[in-house]
Amino acid sequence: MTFIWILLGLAGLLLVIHMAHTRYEPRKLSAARFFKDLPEAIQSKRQWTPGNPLRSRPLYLQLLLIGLIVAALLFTFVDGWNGRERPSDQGIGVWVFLDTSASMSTQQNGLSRMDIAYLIVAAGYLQATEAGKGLDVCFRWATFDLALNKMPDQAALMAATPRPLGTDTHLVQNAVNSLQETNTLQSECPITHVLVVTDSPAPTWLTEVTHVPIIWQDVSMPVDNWGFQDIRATRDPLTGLTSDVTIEIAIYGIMPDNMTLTILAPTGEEMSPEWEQSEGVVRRARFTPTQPGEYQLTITPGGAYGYDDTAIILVQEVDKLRVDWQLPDTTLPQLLDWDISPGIPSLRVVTEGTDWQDDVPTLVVGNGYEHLANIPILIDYFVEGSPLLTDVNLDAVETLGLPGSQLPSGFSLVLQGKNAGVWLAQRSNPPAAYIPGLPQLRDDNLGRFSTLVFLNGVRWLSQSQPPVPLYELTSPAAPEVTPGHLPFHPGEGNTSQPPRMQGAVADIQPATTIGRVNPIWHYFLTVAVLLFAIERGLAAFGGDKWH
Amino acid sequence: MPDDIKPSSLPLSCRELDQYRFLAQRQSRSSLVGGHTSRRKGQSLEFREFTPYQIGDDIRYIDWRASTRYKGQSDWLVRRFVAEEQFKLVISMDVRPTMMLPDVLTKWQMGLWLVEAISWIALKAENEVVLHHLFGYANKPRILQGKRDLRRLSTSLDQFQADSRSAVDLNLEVIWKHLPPTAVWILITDLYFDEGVAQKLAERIVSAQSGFRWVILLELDSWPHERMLLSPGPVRIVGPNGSENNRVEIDRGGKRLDTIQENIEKHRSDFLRSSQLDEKYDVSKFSWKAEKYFDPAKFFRDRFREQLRDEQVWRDLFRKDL
Repeated sequence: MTFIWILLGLAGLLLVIHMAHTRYEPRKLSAARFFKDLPEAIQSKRQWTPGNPLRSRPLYLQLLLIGLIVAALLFTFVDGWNGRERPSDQGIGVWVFLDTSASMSTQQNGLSRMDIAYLIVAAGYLQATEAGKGLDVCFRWATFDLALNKMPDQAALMAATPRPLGTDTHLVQNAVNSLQETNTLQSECPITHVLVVTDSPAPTWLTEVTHVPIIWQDVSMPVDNWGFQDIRATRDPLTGLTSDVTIEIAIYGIMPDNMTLTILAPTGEEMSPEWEQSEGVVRRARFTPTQPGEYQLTITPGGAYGYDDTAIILVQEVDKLRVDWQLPDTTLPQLLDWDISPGIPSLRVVTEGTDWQDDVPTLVVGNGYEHLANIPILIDYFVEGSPLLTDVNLDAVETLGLPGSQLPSGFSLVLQGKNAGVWLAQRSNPPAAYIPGLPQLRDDNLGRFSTLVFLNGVRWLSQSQPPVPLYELTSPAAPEVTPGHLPFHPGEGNTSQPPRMQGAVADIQPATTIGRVNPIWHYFLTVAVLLFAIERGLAAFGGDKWH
Repeated sequence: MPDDIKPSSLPLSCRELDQYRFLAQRQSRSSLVGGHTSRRKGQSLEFREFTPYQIGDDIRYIDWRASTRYKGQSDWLVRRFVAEEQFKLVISMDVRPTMMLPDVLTKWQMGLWLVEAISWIALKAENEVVLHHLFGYANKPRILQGKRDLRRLSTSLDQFQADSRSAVDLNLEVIWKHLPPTAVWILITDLYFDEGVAQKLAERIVSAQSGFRWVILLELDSWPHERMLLSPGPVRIVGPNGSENNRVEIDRGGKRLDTIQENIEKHRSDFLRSSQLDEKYDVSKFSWKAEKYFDPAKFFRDRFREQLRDEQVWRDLFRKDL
């Protein structure tokens, strides 16, 4: 609406311009020579004389032009002015949603699910046009997987193929719900029916939709399938290396006995997986990467759903555990083959009292074990099951005479002696652990305790970091399957679900549509453009009167 | 010459023109006052009227039969005749750009119609008519002789127009030999020439008059119509060839236009005074209607009939048969 005020302001400016521009109407006279004899005072010598804008012919055209533009805007933005209403009538408007997720490529009885879907879409189109003969019939077309894509026409829809993406039926739900607002007089195609063609079963939210009938056609039927469900790596907490890769294979239906898993190393060498004991519909296998690079995993024979039969994963470069070692003695990290060069650390080791601001898991090391008491100090408090106390003999700890320290700010007690000294503490967010000192390389209780709590701390802090991903899921922004970019979306390989539908194509029958509005703003704009051309033409060729 | 100015057919019929007789009763400044007849060798006499006998009248012209019916103071009536003298009529037409306006009826068109009408009447009376462009050295006069040239009057006028070149220099030398004493010299103009030209032309007119030539000024006055074209407000006055370009503010009371009118009339009266033309006997003024639009042919017809009926100069030049 601001535009309208701006245009009206322009119209006012136009008037001022025409007033400021004194128009001297030309008159050809034979007695012209007698006018120069007029005394100077009579002849108009003023530099500016407010002209009468109403005498300007171009002004009328220009005002009319602005008026038409204002009218076009008013007829667009003002409710109730949007055009000529056509009364509601019998008609059919079908919004077709076609599932293009990866599972639509599943083969069943020699056809893919998408092939069956095309037939249903065609049947729906035919049903609508036949039933709506003589009436207004219109269609909207859209595909959906993890994104909703509008299609311009049926041909474009029928040219759509399954994409290596998952399924999000909420997209259809949101679109159907939006019809309550968008299915109005301004709609070019008022919707009377929604036709969803998918291999997902009819969801329960369908029963909540009352403003438009939804025909949910589930083209799936149970078929046997087996394939990759998840592939993840395990990192050695002390070295940071990928220690091994776990492969999960989901089985839907019956898997043949001759199913094999082939693993090819980056060198092309075939590696043997270690199978774990079967657990229901999931089988697990494991292998240990020997070097970084692409590992190709293949299931042979494949199941009815092909996207879960092969996978190329990326085992990252073998990075040593990168540690921000802030202690003066670097013997221990060298022994552990940690990378303590500058860079983004996975672990930080600092002395007690050091400040840090980031979220890097941090091991706070106390003053050490030099000032031990000569007498045992009993434990006053401990957290049972704390990962820092894994395998720690508490009785042996009491004999050490640990002096302890103060509880670092933000930390929680894990182990404290009766001398009120804090022996172990930890913090969850961001993860940090406190230990009294570095491992003492001696074969006694102190040596074992110091080493154990150090390793427990490092292990706990390392596990707080997610394992190195071996692949990413495909997305609408990057749907292609490439090494390290896999379509293992949950549920796509599950081909065992029985179909569940709602309604039938034959339900597409004439219904009472809402009235429509034929917009008229474009008529105003067309006339305005013609008027502009006429005005410019007259200004160029129409003589002085049109300047 | 603008292409759209063509001699259109005269808005007077031949029958109407035939009603006029060429008299050319000269009002010479230097000698006679009033009309006179003269008998020249080889001429015929045409009866004009009866008058009571006065001492000195030629008794050969006493009409005894009419006298017996006459009951006036005098016993006898004398026949009076009009000499059918072969006059030379020179018509000089102004061809300056100002004559090509106004658009509703150009002064040029009006002048052409006058030329054709006057020429027709004069030629029918076996007079000689010389068509002359008042301005422009390249323009030569065109001579027409008597009835035999009536048929080619229209063609001659076309040629007269075609030969015209819009000019501002007086073209008087070439016409002087066509102006013998007793010739009638008709000037058709709007008088919108500058003072220098006016002075020269006035001198020539005076010179012509002193040689027993009758100089008649047919003045074409389009100012009443052009004034109607100027409505109050700012206007840009443009001359015929765009030479003048003055921006003026026309007031609602019309005082500025009154000033212009006064200037025009002063210019006119100065010229008449310089040229010693008598407004009553030597000048006929055709003024345009004070309307924006009118029928040109009807306007010419009405004006021609009015002027020839009401103005002395026309009555002296022509006589209309009853």
